[in-house]
Amino acid sequence: MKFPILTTILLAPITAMILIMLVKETQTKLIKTLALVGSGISFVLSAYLVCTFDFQHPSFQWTEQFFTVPGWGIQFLLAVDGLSIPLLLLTSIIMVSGVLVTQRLTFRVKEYFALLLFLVSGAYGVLLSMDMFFFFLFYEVAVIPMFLLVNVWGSGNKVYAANKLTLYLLAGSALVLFGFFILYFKSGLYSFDLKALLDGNIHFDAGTQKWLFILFLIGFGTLAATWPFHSWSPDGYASAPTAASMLHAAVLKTLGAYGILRVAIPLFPEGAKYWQPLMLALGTINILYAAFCVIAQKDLKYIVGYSCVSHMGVVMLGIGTLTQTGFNGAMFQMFSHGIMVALLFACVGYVYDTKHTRNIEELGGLFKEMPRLSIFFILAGLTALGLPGLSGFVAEFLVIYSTYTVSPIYGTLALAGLVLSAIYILRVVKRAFWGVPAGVVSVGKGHGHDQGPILAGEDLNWSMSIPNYLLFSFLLVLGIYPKLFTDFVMQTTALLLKGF
Amino acid sequence: MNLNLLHISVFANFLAFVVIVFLPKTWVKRSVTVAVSFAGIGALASTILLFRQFSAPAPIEWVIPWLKWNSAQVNVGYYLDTLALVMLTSVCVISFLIQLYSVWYMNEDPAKKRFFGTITFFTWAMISFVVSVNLFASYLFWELIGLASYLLIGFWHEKASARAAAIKAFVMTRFGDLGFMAAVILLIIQVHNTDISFLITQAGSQLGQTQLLIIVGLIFLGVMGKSAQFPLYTWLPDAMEGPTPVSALIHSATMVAAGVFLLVRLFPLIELSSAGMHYICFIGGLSSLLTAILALLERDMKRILAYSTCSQLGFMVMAVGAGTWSGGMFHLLTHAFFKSMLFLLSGYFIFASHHSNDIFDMAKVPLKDKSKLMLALLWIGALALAGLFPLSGFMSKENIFGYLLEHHHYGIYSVALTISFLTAYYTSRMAFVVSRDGHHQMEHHTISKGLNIALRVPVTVLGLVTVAGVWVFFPWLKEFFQLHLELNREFWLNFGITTTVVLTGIGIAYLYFGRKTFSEKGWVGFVPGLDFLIAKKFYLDIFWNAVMQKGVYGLAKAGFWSEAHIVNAAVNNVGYACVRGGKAVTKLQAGEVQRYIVIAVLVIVAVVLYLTFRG
Amino acid sequence: MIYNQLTPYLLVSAVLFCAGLYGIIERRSLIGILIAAELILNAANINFLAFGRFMDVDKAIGQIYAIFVIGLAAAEVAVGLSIVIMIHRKFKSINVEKLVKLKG
Repeated sequence: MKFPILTTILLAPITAMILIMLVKETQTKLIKTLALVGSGISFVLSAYLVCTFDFQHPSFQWTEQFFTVPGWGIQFLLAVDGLSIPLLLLTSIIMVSGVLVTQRLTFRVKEYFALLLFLVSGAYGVLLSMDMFFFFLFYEVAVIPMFLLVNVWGSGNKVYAANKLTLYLLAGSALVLFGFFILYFKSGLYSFDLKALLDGNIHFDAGTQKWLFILFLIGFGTLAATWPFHSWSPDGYASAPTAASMLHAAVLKTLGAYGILRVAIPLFPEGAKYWQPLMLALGTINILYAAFCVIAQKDLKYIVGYSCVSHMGVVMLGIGTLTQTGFNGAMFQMFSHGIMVALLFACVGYVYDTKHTRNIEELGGLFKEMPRLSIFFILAGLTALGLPGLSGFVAEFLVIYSTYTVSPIYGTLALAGLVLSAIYILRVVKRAFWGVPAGVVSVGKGHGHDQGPILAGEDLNWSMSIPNYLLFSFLLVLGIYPKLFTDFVMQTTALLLKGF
Repeated sequence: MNLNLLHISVFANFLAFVVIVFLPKTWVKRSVTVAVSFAGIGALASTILLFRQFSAPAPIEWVIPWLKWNSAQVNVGYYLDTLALVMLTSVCVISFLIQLYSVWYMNEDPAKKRFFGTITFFTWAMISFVVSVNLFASYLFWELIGLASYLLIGFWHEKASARAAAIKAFVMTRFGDLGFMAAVILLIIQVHNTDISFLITQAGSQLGQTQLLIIVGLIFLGVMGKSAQFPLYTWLPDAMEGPTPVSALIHSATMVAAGVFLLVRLFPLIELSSAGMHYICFIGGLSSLLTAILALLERDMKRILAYSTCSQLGFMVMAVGAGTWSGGMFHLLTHAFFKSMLFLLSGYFIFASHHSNDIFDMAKVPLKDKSKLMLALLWIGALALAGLFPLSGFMSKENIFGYLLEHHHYGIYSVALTISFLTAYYTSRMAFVVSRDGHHQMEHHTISKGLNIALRVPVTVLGLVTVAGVWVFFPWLKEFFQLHLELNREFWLNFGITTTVVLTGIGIAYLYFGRKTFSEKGWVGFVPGLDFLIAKKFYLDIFWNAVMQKGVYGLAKAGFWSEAHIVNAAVNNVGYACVRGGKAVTKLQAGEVQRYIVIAVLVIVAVVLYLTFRG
Repeated sequence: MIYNQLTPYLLVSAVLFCAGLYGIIERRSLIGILIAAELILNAANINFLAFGRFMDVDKAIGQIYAIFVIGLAAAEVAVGLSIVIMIHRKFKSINVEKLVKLKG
């Protein structure tokens, strides 16, 4: 029998979690190592999958099936294709960096890492399982630990944020569950097997497609922070601990969009066509509305949170175009945005840990105090504002291009979003990073020569910045040579449109 | 061989950037050496390439595929025809000279490493833009140019004004850039190919007049941002917050030149839309005139030069819009050399007057404290800018005038003459004031010998080019730019008119600023309302501020408000409603037995009633 | 004659039932509630007897049930009173409104 790679990816974090539960509370070093090893194994294996992936093959690869529940149509079926592999890699990258940036944690270390690993195993499960029962099971597994992570390790108005986030996502997932049951019965298969459903040329009549599509759109859209169901996300991220925000913003949001692409688009092509104007409008509103909200924010985490919502609008817009280029762009944006937002949260988390404030009016001159950290933040910010040479630009270009082919008006509005993102990113950079560190007064008429004494701030040291280098390298490589990624998803996204 | 030379000239600066990024923090001196020597290699390679490739029949093309999707493909690579070659060489050379000069200028700055890193990156982006094979790739570098200029304008980020100016520059040019991006997207959708060679030969025939107008308009929006045309020019004067070498670079061969170069590059396409051409010509003339007027009263030397840049760029855009790409391009080249020289000189004079940008402060410095060489070069630059025979500025302006006259564009001709008069007036005003003999005693600055070379060599070279460059290369330039400089009757007529206008401008400047007593405002004070309008800067800054403050921040506040009072309120109210509903229902289970009984009885009664009256 | 009709018996029993129900709902004292419950049982008894007498069934059935109910009522009172005593020991009160421990 072949080595079960997919199962190992899924089980590595779970095993690490169980081992961590067995370890004594005080052995924090061991716990951190275990977490790193657990997430590292998944990372290495997903990287292996990426390297050996067959570009030309549009359908599922490495199918693994272990047991079935006879009579109920449930089976434990894992498979990956061009849609899930990039996101698998994304998840594992974020997890590894998330574990690495939390090395300084001292409060309830054991539970923290156990929950984080549990959460990430849920995310892996959603990406890997091709059975609706397990898809939903892991979906819930991915949602629930966040409640504890925010409530126990969070900051600010954390109880409110945790409740809002969890309830919102559960409400969304209820719709999804309902949809899955409808699929179970209506498809006539009486099986939760998603792969069979996708391969089986099952055609629903137009009316069913319409309402099932909107059901899934709202259900998954809630997780993808689609306007107006987005408000859990800035609050949640603002209160969550760093690694949890990273994982949640980068991976879980992406899972929402992944669900739409995986289930709703290929199964209900007519429904998708019917609701296309809605998707375009929601995507555009997402981009612009959230961008305007960022401009008025002062809290660094809220800024990143809302910019994250704004960027998910690009994903929604790309899906809404119902063109292959749009899907490619949406996938590209999911990946690039995930990495970028994780990098932003990592930087913000560091700033908060050292300065104990996230208010940009109280910060200032961080570039002088922590040059390395600031450079990472600025580079991630430049990705957010769509600077060519970094991956964000390619994603936004692909999406906006395909939007133009569908509707020039929405395309133009989405373009306007790029100016807004420039304004809000540069505003943060100006307020928090440029300038003179708080408490140091600039002397002289500004020839830069004569600065007052600079307070020594604690910059990222070499080992602390490993996750940042890891994340940034992906932004750069994909920005310089985007073909790597688009070749990857090209065949699969073409397959999504076969019903159109 | 030529391709290798091209590789060297393109990547020399990039290599320097990479090396500087990876050098340890403390190796400041070495990073300067790296930047200057790599830029020197690039300049040398590009100059050799200029001689080898100039009259070559076929352009160098070198392509790698970058991004592909179902209907189109985008390549990156080189497309080096003579036009790009000329631009490439001037960018490489000017950038090298400016970096050399920066060795002196930035000598005491602790953040030198960052400065040289960014400036090499800037140069690389500009060079790549110039030689780019594909319009999409051009757009990539176009944005990188914007980023680099943002970083350089905000280089002294400790100053609030520098931070603000940097953001202003980036956001305003970005606004224009989006037009460019939309144009690229529309081109891909319409003609499926954005290779430059394709666009300038075949694309036009595949586009309708309306489509063409939209695309030209959008591209020109990008040009308006980058090349600082009305109404987007307000970022350029503010960009003076950057170090002087940066101003020199931005205002001559990079950044603002990119816009005009793009127009020239795509001229065969743009030319097909006559409405677009009229529009371009109008905006160019308007910007040129307005900014020339703004320069009349300015006291800050760098800002005078900045307004003159806007004005000259407008002049070039107007020329292109009137139909002569060669006129615009040739003026862009000559202007690049003398304008960078003028900026570098302004750096010296600011240094000599103890870090004051005000020309009237410079006037207070005794003449013996100002270098004679610098003063001479200042006059050469000023007169070249004014367009006086036999300097390079004269040639390029005369070329445009000749074209306008030959094609009977008398309206544009008269506008151009007005601009020329204003230019002559304000540049010589600046030169007269700066070269006055003052009595303000100041401690004397000394410049060490090595730094003196870094200061003097670049300006001298640029000065030589301004004086003699055009004459040395005249046969080539004449052939390539199809100069309108035949020695016939029209030429002499034109020569007479323009020289008279320029000399009048200089003469008036002499009357007010060249003699013993002088007024600060000159004749502008006598024109009613003009100085008021200049002080208000034609309300343009105020307008953009309002757009930013009222428009963008207003909407942002609205978004913030609606987030709190609509979206979140809705969510919270759903939550509260659940809680309230729950509270209401718990009353039924409050442990009060008698209430239970009441409910039970009522339910029984209801059931009985229902069963009774069901039928 | 009025004695030979079903309706007056039922009316009396209904009045008795309502009085009992009212007592159960309104009395604060547990003893009162128990007494009111007795009233309801007696209303039921009257119904049994009346229906037994006027319906076309064996007369003994209604009376047997009535005697059963009386027995049950006695047992119920015995159990109920002992519970009331326990409650009184624990809460020092037999007022139902003070016996509420649930939140609402």
